Amino acid sequence: MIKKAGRNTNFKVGAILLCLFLILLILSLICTPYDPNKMNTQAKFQPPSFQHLLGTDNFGRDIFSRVMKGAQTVCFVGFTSVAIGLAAGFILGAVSGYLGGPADEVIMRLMDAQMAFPGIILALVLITLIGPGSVSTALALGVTAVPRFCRITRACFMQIKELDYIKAAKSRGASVPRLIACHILPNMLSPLIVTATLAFSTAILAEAGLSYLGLGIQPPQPSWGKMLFEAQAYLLTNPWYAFIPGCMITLTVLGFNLLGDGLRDLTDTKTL
Amino acid sequence: MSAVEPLLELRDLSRYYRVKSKKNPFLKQQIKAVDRLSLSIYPGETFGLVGESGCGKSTAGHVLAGILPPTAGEIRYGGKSFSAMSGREKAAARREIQIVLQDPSASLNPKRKIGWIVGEPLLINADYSKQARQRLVAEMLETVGLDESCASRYPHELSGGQRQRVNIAAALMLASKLLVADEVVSALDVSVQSQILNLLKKLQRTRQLTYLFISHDLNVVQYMSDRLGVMYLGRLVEYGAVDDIYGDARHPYTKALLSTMPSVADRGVERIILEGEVPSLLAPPSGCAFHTRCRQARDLCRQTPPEMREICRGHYACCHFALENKG
Repeated sequence: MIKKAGRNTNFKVGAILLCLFLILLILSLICTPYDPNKMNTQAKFQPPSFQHLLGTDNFGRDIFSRVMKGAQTVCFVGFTSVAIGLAAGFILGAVSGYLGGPADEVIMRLMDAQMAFPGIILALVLITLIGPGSVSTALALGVTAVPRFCRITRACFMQIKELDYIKAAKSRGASVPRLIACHILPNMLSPLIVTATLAFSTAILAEAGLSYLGLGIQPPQPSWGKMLFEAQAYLLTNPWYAFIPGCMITLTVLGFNLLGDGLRDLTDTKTL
Repeated sequence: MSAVEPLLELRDLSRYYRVKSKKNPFLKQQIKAVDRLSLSIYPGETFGLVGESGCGKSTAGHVLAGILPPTAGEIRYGGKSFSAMSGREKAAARREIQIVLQDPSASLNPKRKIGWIVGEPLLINADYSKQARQRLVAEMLETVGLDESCASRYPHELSGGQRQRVNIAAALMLASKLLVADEVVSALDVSVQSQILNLLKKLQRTRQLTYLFISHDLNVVQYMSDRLGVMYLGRLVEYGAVDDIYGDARHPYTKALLSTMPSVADRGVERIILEGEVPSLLAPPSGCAFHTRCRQARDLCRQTPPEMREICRGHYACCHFALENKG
């Protein structure tokens, strides 16, 4: 497994990008060069220098500090939404795939109904209903991720529950929770991990999009999407302001996507 | 043999599946995979169950092993009906009836080590410490002819024969008395087949096991079984002692099956080639289910389903002409 990981370029590049992201995140928890929300009208639109590594924004706030703080937001929204989507999707998918019949029909039609809406529209509606902020953004994005997890869980359950080793375990008296925890779950872990990684990158993009539209993270809390929106007005005069959060979003999403692809290749085969 | 109480009795055991009709999705049709199967298995014997694929022999085994619930009928184990047992008695009976499935690689969880798989029945049903469990697993692996070191390996590291040994070990872990062997050797090559069959015979001697041996391989069944049942379209058509059936089959289907048996010596037996296809279980033929392919079919067969008739002691056939069909 480790040897194969070393040969997989997708996995390597993805892992390096995410390591950088993690370093930034951990540093931001310890300290940032400046208070990310402290305004300084004397130092507006400073270009990158040794004093302000990535320059300052229209309020004179240190962009590097804000990017670091923004990583926390990204991480919170990403993890929370994936956790919500994964938990709800897994439970619904497990019920659907294990029981089949009417329960399956009802759950799948509900999921179809939800999938008929584009994810971002659904998230917009939810946020309008429960009010903006990072928690509601995470919640809304979590709900939009449910069908994805539900479908993949259902497919895995339907496929695995018919296999002989499930029958054998049944005849040896294994209970349903045991069948799921010890036999089905370990054998569907790889598609689940891959889906979770890819859902994480979708959530980052969606959070940026929502914040850009003004509905996600509320100022002054830093968010990469929001920074991009603010930088838009100064694109011609101060291009690096837009360039930096844009780069951060791209690199992080790229990192997660590459890692997801890499993991899929690595876990897809029989050979461990 | 009749003085001994049967270990297992099936009375009119049935298992039906409901499937959606192709023409009308709202209409459900019934497939009678196993239809009123009655038989007795005595302690210490091997009862062979043969038939072509789709005749319901595996389904019957799965119902017995508790993988599928029966649709109707009664299973009596140790003289007591399953439906009359308390929850605890039922669980105990279930522990004593174990199954070994056909495909040795598909019946082992690919993400678990052999030691875990063999020890799982104990983990579920008994309260042993980890050391005790490991010791029992090691003993069991040795009993089925595997090295102790296998316990720390994954299923894909073993050969087909070894995997089937692991399956047998897991099935015997709960001190089972009745082992349903569902096509245990059909996925193995011939040299390994004989090893597994001899292992099963040895285990039967040393552990006083009773086998329900399901197979489509007539040579294997003859080698293994004391008594034999022949199934066609979910029903038992003939059963009796192996020698009686191989020597004096009375049902035309059994005769046709036996005539196709490959053998080294030319026995001078005419091959009976059955015409046509197996009828659909969705629309089984009227009267005797075999009449569509039977040479001897007459009007009687098309209208009236035959009864089981006793040919000689313990040998029964379900054919109108069973008594006339000598030799």
